[in-house]
Amino acid sequence: MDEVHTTKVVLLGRTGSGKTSLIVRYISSVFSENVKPTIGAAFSKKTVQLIHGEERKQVVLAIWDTAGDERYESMAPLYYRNSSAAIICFDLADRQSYNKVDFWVKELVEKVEQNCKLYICGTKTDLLAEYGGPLKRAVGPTEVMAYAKKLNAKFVETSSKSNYGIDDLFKLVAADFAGFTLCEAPPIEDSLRLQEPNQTDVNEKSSCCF
Amino acid sequence: MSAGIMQHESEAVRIQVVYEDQQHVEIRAFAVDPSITSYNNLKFLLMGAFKLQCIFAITYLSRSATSLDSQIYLALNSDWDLDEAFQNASDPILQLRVTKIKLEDDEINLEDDIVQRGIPSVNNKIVTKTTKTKAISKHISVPFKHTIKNHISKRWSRLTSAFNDSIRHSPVTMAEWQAFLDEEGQLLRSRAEDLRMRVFNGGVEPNARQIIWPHLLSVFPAEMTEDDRSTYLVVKGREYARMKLRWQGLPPEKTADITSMIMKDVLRTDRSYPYFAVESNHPNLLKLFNILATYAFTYPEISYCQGMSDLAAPLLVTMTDEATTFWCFNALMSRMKVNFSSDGSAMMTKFEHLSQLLDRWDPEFCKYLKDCGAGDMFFCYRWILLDLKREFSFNDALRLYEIIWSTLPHNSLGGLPRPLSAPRLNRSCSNPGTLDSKSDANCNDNSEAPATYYSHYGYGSPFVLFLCLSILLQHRDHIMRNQMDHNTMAMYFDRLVRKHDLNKVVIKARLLFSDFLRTELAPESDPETATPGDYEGVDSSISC
Repeated sequence: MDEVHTTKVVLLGRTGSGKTSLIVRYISSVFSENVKPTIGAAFSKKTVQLIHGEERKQVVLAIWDTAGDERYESMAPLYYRNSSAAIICFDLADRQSYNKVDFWVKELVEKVEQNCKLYICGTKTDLLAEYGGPLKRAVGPTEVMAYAKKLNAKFVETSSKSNYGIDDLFKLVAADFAGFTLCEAPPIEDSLRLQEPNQTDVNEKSSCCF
Repeated sequence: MSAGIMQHESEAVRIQVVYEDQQHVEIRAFAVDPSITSYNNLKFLLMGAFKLQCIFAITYLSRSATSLDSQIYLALNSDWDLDEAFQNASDPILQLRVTKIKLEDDEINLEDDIVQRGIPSVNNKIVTKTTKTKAISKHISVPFKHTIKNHISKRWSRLTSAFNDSIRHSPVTMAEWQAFLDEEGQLLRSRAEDLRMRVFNGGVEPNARQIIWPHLLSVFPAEMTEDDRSTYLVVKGREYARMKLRWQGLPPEKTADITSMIMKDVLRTDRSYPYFAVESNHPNLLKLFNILATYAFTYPEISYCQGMSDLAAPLLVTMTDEATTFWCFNALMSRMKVNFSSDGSAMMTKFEHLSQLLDRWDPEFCKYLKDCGAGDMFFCYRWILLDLKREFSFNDALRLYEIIWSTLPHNSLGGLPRPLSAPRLNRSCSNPGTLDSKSDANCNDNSEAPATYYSHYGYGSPFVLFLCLSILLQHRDHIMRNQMDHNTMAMYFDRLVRKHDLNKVVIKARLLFSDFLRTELAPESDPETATPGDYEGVDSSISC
C-alpha cells in the first residue's frame, strides 16, 4: 500500500488570469474559452502518484480555486489558510495581471503561518507571439524568474488551451510536498516517474524531471 | 396526471396506509410508481385495499414539519398534493392516513363522484355498483335534501377550487395579465398582490415576461396607465442615454480598468445560451456591456463586481431593449447591491440567517455542518450572491427569478422595511404547501392577502433563503450518509450546478416558507401544543 498524503493547494491571482481554466484542464482535461467568473470558491481534488525508485507515494491535491475579483479578496484567507502550496497565476500578456502577483505574495508571507510553497504561474502561453499567438509578453521571463528566485518560489508557464505545462505544475507541487528529491541535473530517463491514477491511461507512465 | 410537470427521481415509492374507523384499524403497505400514479389512481387503490364504500379523507405525514411539530398530517386532495407528498414526504416511506368521514348521508357512494368526474378506468363491476348507488342517492335525496345540497355545493366548490388550482399553478399568460388591468391598462393596487401571488405559484409565461417583469421589479411607479408607462419608458430611455454618454465621454484611461473587467466578464457570461452565443462584437454582448458599465459609472460606490453580469443577463435576454433592461437591472440591484459591498456584511448576515433557519428545520444537519467546519455556510456563497441563478439551467433561472421577485413587495426591492401584515395564505388561494386552519376562504375576495412579506431574514428577501434551505434539506441525507466534509460538500454542490430540479426545489421552498410564515406571523398559535388537526384545515375532510 502506497503512503497517502493530502495537501491543500490554493489558486490565487487577478480576475481573468486563468485560474479556473487551469483547474478545469487539470481535472477534466478540457478547455473552454468561456469559463464563467468564479464566485466564492470552488473545490476539486486529484490524486498524484509518485514513483521514485522503490519509493512510492500518493499525494491527494485538495485544490481551492478562488474568485479573482478584488471585491472577494476578503474571502481568500478562508481558502489559503492551512495551504501548503499556493499557485499564483498571472496572464503572461497582461501586465496588470502580473502586478497583482506581488499583492498575493505579500498577503501570504504576512498571513500564512506555516510553510506555504509558492508557485508563480504565467498562463496563456498560447496567446504569445513566440508560440504563434497574437499577443506580446507583458513581462519578460528573466524579470519573473529573478522575482521568483528572490522569494524562493518556482516559476512555471502554462497554457490551458494547448495543455502545456499543467500536469507538470501539479506534479511539481505534489513532489515538493512529498519531499521527493528533485534532480537538478539534465533529465534522466525514469529517474522520477510521476503517474496519476484514476485516469483512463493509467498504464501510460509519463516521466518528467524538474 | 395533471401534475405531469413534475419529475420524480425514484421509480417506486413505498406507501404505508393506516385506515381507521370506529371499529378497527387496518394497515396496508404497497409501492407505486410515482410517475404514473395520479390522485385518482391512488383513491382507487385505497378503495380496493380497504374495501371502502364510504366518503374518506386522505392525509399524509409531512416530513418537513416533523422537527417543528411532531407528526403533522397534510391533506392529500389532488394530483398536486400527491406530487408534493411524493417529492417531500416519501423518504423512506410515504405514510398515509385514511379516515372515514362521518356524514349523515353516509350512503352516498364514492363511485357516484368518480363517474361524475369522468374517470375512465372504471371497471364493469364498479359501473354496475355505480348505477345502483345512483339509485340509492336518488332515493335518499328526499329525506336528506338539505344535507345533500350542502354536500353537493361543498363538492362543487372543491371541484372549482381544484380546477382553479390547476390554473393557478400554470404560468400567467398574456390573456390573464390583461385581466389584472383596468380599462386604461392600469394595474390596480389591489390586483398587484394577486398578480404576485399568481406568479409565486405559477411563474410567468415566457412571452408575457417582457410585460410583467418590469412590474414585478417595481420599475414603474404604482398606478400608471398603459399610456403613462409608455411615456415613462421613453423618458427613462432618454435618461439612460444621457447616463451612458456621461461615462463614454470620459478619457479612456479613466475608465479602462472597469470597462476591461466588465468586457472580460461579458465575454464569458452565459455564452452557451443562444442569445449570447454570438460573435464577441455582436450587439447583444455590447448591450450587456453598456448596461453594466453605465451602472458602474453611475454608482461608483457600487461600481462593477463579478456576478453582476449573471444578474443582468436574464434581464437582457427577456427585455431585449437596452434602456429598459438597464432600468430593470437598476431596480434589481437596489435589492442585490448589498451582496456586493466590500465588507461582506450583508452576505454574512444572510449566511447567519440561513444557518438559523436550517437549525430550526433540521438541527441535526445543522450540527453536522458545524462539526465538519461548514457551519459558516460559505459553501452557499454563489447561491446567495446570485439568488441561485447559476444553480439552475438558464431557462429555469428565469422562472426562479420571477418567483423570487413575486415574494417582494412593490417598491421595496431596496429592502426597506414594510409593516408586517398577517398572511392569509391558504390552500386554495395561495399555494399547495400552505397550512392554514382558517382556509377555505373564497379566493375572489382575498385581494388584501399578501403574497409578499417583509422580513429581516435575508435582508428583506427571505424566500431566497428558503430556496437554499430546500436544496440543503433535499441533499442532507446524502451528505450525512457519505460523511462529506466541507470540501467534498463544496465539490458535490458544484457538480449539481444546473442539475437541480426547479419544481422540486420551489415546491419544497414554498412549503417551508409558508410554514415559516405561519409560525412567524401567528404567535398566538403555539406550534408545540397544536394538534395535527389544526393544520389539516377544512380541506382535509374531502368527500370523494
